[in-house]
Amino acid sequence: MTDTTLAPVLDISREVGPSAGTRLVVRWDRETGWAHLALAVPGTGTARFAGFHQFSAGGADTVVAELAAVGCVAGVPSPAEDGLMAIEGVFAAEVPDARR
Amino acid sequence: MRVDDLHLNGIGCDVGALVPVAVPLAAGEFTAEDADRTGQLSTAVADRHGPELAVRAGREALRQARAITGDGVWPSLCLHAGIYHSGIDFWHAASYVRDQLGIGAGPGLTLELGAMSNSLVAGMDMAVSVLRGRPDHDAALITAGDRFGGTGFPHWSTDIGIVYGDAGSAVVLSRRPGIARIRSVASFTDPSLEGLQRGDEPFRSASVAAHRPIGIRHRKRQWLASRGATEVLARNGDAVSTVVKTALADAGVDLPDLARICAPHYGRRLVHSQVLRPLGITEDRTMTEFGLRVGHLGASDQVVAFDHLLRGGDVTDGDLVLLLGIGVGMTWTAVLLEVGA
Repeated sequence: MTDTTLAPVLDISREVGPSAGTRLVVRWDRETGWAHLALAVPGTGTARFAGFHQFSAGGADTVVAELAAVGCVAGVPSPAEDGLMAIEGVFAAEVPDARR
Repeated sequence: MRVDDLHLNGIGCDVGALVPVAVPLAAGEFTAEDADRTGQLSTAVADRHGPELAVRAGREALRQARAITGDGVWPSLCLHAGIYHSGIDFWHAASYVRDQLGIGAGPGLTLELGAMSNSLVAGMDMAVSVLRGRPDHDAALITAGDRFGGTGFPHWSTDIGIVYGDAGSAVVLSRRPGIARIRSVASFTDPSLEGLQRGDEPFRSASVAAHRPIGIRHRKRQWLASRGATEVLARNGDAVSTVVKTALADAGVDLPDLARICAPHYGRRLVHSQVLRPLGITEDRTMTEFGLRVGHLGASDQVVAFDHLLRGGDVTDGDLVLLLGIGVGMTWTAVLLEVGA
């Protein structure tokens, strides 16, 4: 399992993590690994801001691996505006709260 | 003023994606000299307007407050701030935010705050005063939202030593325990520095921002040419020290007791001269590094930084966090929070 500090960041409700079917939208800088996170819960409209996270490296394989480590199945990364990379993933199950 | 009976029940943010510094450097919108001076690494750029960002942040803050307190939080006091153009002329953004959040009609006030970048932290001072003095007020919602950019306010080049970023933020305050307890608040005003942001600018009948950048750099240089930077440094240093020391003394704690200070997200050189030096602290006690990623988010710096600390688990129950607001005019506010409690 890939080490990541992503889990507590995604505990946006401070009660439970994202539920199954929740979509995670990530836009990150390949040079630094800094990423903007947004979560879209099915049936609740547009994605909402879910914090920033610095991946351990900026490569797509690292990002995909860290997403997988928190139960997020990622799609194919693609270039986004302003030199950023973008990727979307879907949670298969509730994310464990790393602070419990 | 010492405060023991009020809490922060909800916190929400909506921040733009982080555009790396290489983009404006390549486009000629930012110079290598500016990059060296500020240390800015990226800044947040959003595709929604300020009041819309505030609504999204407010929705999350209210959702948290209702989940944490377990009952219906209804803020009778709604305060909103934006330091730049809201997107609509001659309009009341605060009522828009309140309406969009479904708070609706009822007793109490919905007001816009005008303390520039200090607005949200200063609004916490005001909300504390209202909630402590008016038992008929149950809760307060404070929101802020700004989107910069466009002709009038380029993110990277409008100001000296500051790169601006887009964000909305919100907090809910009430008497119920929640995310953090408010331990103390302190504010200070020095209007003699108002001209720093005005320079020799004449009064006009309409904004120039639709046609050209608003020229903050030029205005500051005009004022500094006659008054000098020493006066700004001295007056700001005194005010920063005053509000921080007062807030800490009122709560019976000292600077080493603080887990972190969330101060304005200036560039690195300004952070050192305006915040770190007056307090005699090092950069790692603040959120400077984070600020160099997201930019100066109008009135949202402190709440977005505190939210980042909470999300990352970088502060835990019992930790003391100081929010330090500084707004042109100038005003300063310090709010001491104890996480959990």
